[in-house]
Amino acid sequence: MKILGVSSFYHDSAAALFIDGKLISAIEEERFSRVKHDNQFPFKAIQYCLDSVGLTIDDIDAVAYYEKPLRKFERLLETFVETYPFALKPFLQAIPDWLGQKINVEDIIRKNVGFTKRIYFVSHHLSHASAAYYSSLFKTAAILTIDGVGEYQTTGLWKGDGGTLSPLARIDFPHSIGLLYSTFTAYLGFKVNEDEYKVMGLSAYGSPEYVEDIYHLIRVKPDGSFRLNMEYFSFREGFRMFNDKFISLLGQPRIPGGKIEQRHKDIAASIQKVVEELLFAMLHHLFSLTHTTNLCMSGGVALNALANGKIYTRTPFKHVHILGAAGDSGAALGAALYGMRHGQKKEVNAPITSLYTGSSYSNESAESVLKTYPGLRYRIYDAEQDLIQEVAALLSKGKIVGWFWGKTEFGPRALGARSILSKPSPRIMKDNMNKIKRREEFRPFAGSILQEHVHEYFYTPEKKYYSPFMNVCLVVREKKRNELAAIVHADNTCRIQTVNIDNGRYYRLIKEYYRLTGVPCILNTSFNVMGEPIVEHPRQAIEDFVHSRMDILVLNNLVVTKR
Amino acid sequence: MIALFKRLNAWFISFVLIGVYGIGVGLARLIYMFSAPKETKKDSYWVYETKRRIPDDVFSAY
Repeated sequence: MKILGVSSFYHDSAAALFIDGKLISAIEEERFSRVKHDNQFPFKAIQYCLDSVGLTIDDIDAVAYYEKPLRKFERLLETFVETYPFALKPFLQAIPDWLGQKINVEDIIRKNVGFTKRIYFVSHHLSHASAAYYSSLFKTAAILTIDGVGEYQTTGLWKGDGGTLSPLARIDFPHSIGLLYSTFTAYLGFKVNEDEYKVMGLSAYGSPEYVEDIYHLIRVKPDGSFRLNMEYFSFREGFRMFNDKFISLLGQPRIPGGKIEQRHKDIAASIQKVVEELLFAMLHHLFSLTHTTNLCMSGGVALNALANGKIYTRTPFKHVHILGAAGDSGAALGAALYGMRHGQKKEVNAPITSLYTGSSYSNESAESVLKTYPGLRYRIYDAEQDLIQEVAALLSKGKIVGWFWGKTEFGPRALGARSILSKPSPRIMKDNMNKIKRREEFRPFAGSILQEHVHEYFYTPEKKYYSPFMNVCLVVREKKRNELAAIVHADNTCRIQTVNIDNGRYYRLIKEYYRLTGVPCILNTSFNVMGEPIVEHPRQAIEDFVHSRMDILVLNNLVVTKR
Repeated sequence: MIALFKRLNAWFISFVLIGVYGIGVGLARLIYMFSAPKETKKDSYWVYETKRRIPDDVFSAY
């Protein structure tokens, strides 16, 4: 069975192709459109998925869409009724938009994509739950789906057993942890649905002095269920997330781009603490309903790596699976997985251990672009081992390397296919990297570490801890903090990616770096500059390289330097 | 000429939508005010799924 999963019209539109239960291709639209978190229908991503295996749309057996647009439209209308007469402006903007295309997803798939066979509409949180559970290695698992909002649902408790998903409990809009966190993202002067991880990063510099105030905004029960106090929020009525009452409680919001004061850091620390307390209470309740120590999580809130790292010590769960693309792009994959199960009426087992599912470019295409840059020189390496030795040696000398290799990653994290790399110490490497990325200095960097050494450097829940998708922060062991000085955050944690043989050339590079330096870890950040999606085409990588202080650019088998 | 037509068209649509919002949504709001259930004190805000199985409506956009 060939099935195409699609997500669109909220953020992070994407397409994913499965053939006979195996993930073949998956990519976000933003990579092609160059609009970060692009929410337009993913025509280009769909075309890529088909082209990658030489198929046409007629070869596809089914398309699975990641939500039910009519039900979502109904929720929108209900919200307009509940907030009347304060939401005229959003009404004037949203209705033409919805009637124009968002409601007509089936028409778009039929007429614009040209698909004539079966279309599945898998509800939003079911898509998330499917992505989390069916991509895991677990037979039995508790599942938490948690995000801003789908159709109505914002939070879901599920159980997966023997390939069957069962919904247990839910919380509906407007009560949403995702929207609560996004409200604070906006309040702290960052972009909603984009900069939530900045709040998470900022939280390490503050103390949680506003926790009591934040509990005015939310009522929480011991079982982790909650209600937002809507007197403080205005995301239903308008384009602003919070209202004047919110400001009178917490003070004036930070102006975007303005100075970050200690108060802002404390507020970030406070909301992070509240969200963690809520999350752990929910997980305790989920455990009491499911009695399994395996946990799968999905939805935008599941990208909160700082909270994820504490699950092992603060809840009964011992094994946690969070797919790298835990947000809405991953829901395209989940919709396809659910459609596949439904279409075949048999158990779907599609564990995903690698997310290198996107586009790739040949050495020749990279070389043809390079020839148009007279200021650059390059060398082609025929033997991979030579290239790896050369790059590892340069990294060990403190050079910053743009690393463009093989198929690009699916999801928001660079996992060693489109990355900028450097050694993980001394601390100045962090400042140098921040200059290249043109981003705020408070933001931390992640590390990629050989899986067999992870327990030596971090407090891990088990010896050969496995976390391949960079969505968990762990505390760095005291005696190793100097060795990782550029990636240890202010709270002594670091977001990590464990790397093993599944990571191919990237694994072999770190292995060589370890042989040279005795350190099995390197700094890894996404290959892009602030405000742009991760690079897609070699030309974009070359442009970033030329206009930044990167020392070396590796394009597959080509090592590029500046003259 | 085309720009003027587009602008008039946008105004017309806005005018219609303001009417729909003012009268249609306003009436719905009135009905909602009298029919919405009062929120009672609860021990939990979870809405528990009674059937614990996923409804078989995967081909519907609703």
